[in-house]
Amino acid sequence: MGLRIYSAVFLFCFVYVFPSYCFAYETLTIIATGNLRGNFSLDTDEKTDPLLKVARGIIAERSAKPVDCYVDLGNAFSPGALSRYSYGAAMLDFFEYVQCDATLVGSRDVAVGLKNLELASRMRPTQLLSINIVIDNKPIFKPYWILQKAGTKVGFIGITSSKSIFDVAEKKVLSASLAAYRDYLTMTIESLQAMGCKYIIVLSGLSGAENIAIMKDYPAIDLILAGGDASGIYYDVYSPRVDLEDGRSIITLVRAGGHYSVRLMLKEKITIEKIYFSEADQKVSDSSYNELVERVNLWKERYAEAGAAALADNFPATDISSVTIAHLLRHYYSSEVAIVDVTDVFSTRLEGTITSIDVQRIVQNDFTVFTYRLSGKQLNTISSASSLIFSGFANGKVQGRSIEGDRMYTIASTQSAYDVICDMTHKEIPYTNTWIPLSDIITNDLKSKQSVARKDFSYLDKRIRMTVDINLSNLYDNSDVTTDDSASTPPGMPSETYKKWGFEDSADISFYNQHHRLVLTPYIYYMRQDDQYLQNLLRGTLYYTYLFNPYVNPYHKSQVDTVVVTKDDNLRPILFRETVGASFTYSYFTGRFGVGFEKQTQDPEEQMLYGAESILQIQIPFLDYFMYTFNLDNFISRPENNNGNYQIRTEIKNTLSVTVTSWLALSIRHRWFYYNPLETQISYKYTQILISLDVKAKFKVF
Amino acid sequence: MKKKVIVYYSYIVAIPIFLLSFLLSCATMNTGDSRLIDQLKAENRVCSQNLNLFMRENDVLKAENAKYKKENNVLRSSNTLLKSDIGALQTRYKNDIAMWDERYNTLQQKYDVFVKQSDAKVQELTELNKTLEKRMADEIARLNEVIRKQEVDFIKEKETIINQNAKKEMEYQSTIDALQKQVTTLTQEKEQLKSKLTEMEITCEKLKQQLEVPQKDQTLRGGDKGTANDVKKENPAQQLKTELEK
Repeated sequence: MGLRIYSAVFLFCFVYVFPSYCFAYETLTIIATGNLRGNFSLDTDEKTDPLLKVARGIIAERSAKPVDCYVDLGNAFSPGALSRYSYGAAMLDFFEYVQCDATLVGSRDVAVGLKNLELASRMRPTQLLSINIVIDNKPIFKPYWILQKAGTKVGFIGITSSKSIFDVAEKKVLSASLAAYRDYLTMTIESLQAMGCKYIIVLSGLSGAENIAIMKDYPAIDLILAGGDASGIYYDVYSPRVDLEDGRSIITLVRAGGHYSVRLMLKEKITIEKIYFSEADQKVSDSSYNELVERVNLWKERYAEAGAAALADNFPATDISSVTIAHLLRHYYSSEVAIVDVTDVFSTRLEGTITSIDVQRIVQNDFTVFTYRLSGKQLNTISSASSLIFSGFANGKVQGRSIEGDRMYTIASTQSAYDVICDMTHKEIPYTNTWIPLSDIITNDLKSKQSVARKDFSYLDKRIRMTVDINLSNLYDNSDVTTDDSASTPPGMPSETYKKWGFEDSADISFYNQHHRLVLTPYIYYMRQDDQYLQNLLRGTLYYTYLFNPYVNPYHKSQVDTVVVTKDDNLRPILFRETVGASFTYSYFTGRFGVGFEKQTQDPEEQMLYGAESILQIQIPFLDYFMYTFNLDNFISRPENNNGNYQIRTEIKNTLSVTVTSWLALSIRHRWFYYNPLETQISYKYTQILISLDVKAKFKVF
Repeated sequence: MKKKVIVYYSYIVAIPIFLLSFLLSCATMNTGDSRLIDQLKAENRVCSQNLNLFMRENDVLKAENAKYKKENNVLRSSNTLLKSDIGALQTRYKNDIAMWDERYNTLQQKYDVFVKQSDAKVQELTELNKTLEKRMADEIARLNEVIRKQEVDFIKEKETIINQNAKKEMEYQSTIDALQKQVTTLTQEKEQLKSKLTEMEITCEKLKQQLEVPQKDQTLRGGDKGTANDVKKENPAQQLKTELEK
């Protein structure tokens, strides 16, 4: 009786532990790695090399038990310095010697160069898989790989992460792009099924949500092995394994520094029997491992030879970070803002003799540098991006001034940062490619000025900038009345033919840096009806302000007014006004309060008037295309020895404008002018309502 | 005057428009060229990267090739040495072969002689063997017959002995039975004698007691006479007791 019970228990345990031996299911043992990152050490000691340790583990695993295949889940080629130096060839050697059957092309792998990867992988046993990296709408790499075991075919499909950034050169030359994977996935699954694949496994670099969506939409997929770019985050929770209700699974293998062993049972559907991660160092005496070590050491020797030449000697101890590199970009491209992606640079400390190996260690994505312009609105949009590192833009300010939504700012950035920005702004931003890779900029700097070693980059904010803002507002009214002298004029209609035209143009030519701002504004306001001048003002303003406070700053303004054309009396009165005071800025409000004097110097010359100036402007944008503007310009003055009379000159403008394009707007403007001359004290009031088409152009000269 | 105004106006309008159009035209003037240059630079970058890849991979493969060539040269020189060794060995081997051939031939001749001799001997021995085998077969047959006869005799003798033994056993058995009957008889006699002895002892006791009374009377009369009489009376009883015990 007891023997029977023991036998039953033993049988149950055996069936439980080794189900595949008890039932007639085929099993599939897969070795998987991910995020190897081309992480070879640069010394030739094989014991300390992280990737050779992984290789030892895999070779030991293969010799200890039968393994059906080895797949890599992406990001194997970059950013490791040796792998990038070899353009992926060293990693392909690694894969060849450890008998990797297929590897997914990850988002970081494309940094090595698609064409390079494609060329380097030719005639190699390892298949590079990606269905969605396309050149002229055709996948550049193989979309699938088929494993055949005991007459059963298992298809492996590779889907690359949408985070991939292609080198702009490859985009241009090869027309490389990342296609929507769904079209290709449907096609590939059909092809695999036509070829008799009973099971389909997807190697995915997609996000958790995308993987679930794929499983939902493609029931033919039996299993997703996610890794490389995949984080295993599902609804903000880390879940390395997700089982769907129909029994299919998504496994996310994110750990690096070792290898996973995945044992599957090929039943009606694939079921997972066992998964474990192994990172223990193993001893192997395999000839292929020895050959791998020799090949890798050759790469290391070549890399050391190429990078051994000193770029700089006695370099001061300097911490190099993304911010430092962004400062360097701003230094070399004189841009207002420089942006790098957080993955572009590996923070490290440089000291003493610097070689190109150090530069390669710093630069993780060696893309070329772009220069372009972003509006203040776009800058605000991207300011929240955690993946971007800025130089020259902080707390909503550029060179000490709050950014203006419609003003353009000069930007220098890496291509990876540019791609992030385009993605965030949903716009293809025009750019100029310098065709200088980031590593070359750092190398050249190390060889010459060594600006990267500066402790203080505040000088960048002291660089003088120049902008020109042009406002052109024109009107033309040609009214032709045809009638007889005896005819009566209908109410509200003009009695005579007239031609009315005019313009109100100004240009703000600004020179500024972090602390100083000088604005030269020529202004013309000229309007006439036939021979009668309705407006005839030519004004020049020189405005200087010293910027030391975000809200209140001192200013000095020189203004000269005259007429555009002299009238019949041939007089050209010239009125000077000199004021000093304080300007203030807060949100939509800008204003100036100052004191000074005003003097008409000719036609006729008048006595000097002392007074106070108050200028206020409120600009409120609303509904995207509308802008309300309120302007007040008031100057109250009196002569030095006066009996108490004041001269008042006040102008109030209310403008509502609709933006048609970035440089064209339609405006309705109400102008109220009040003038109370000193001598007569008889006030003059003028009210005008104008509808005009305004051309506004803002240029950043440097 | 009007002309002057128009001139002013022309300047004032023309300058900003010119500036604006100039700046705009500058922005687009070189678009075509820059695209071409960009394309060329892009191709240059891709090609230079490809070239770098090929050069570096080629460099590594060349180094590996050089290493293998070096190893190959070492192997080749050792191969030459081995070849010369092989040549020397082959010469020696040829000589040895010739020598061994000669020895072999000699041995072969000897062998042939031996074979001939041995054939005759074998024939002789075979005949002898046959004779011996025949003799041995006859002897075996004879011995088998003797054995068979002996076995028959033995069986007969055995049967005789068994019969004799049976007779003896019967005799002994009858003797034993007779003896047992004697024993039984004697035992019965013994029992009878025992009972007689017991009766006699009782009788003796009675007689003793009867004897003790007159003795006391005699004691009272004189002790010596009475003792001698008692001895005379006591002797037949003692004799009887001894007999019974026997």
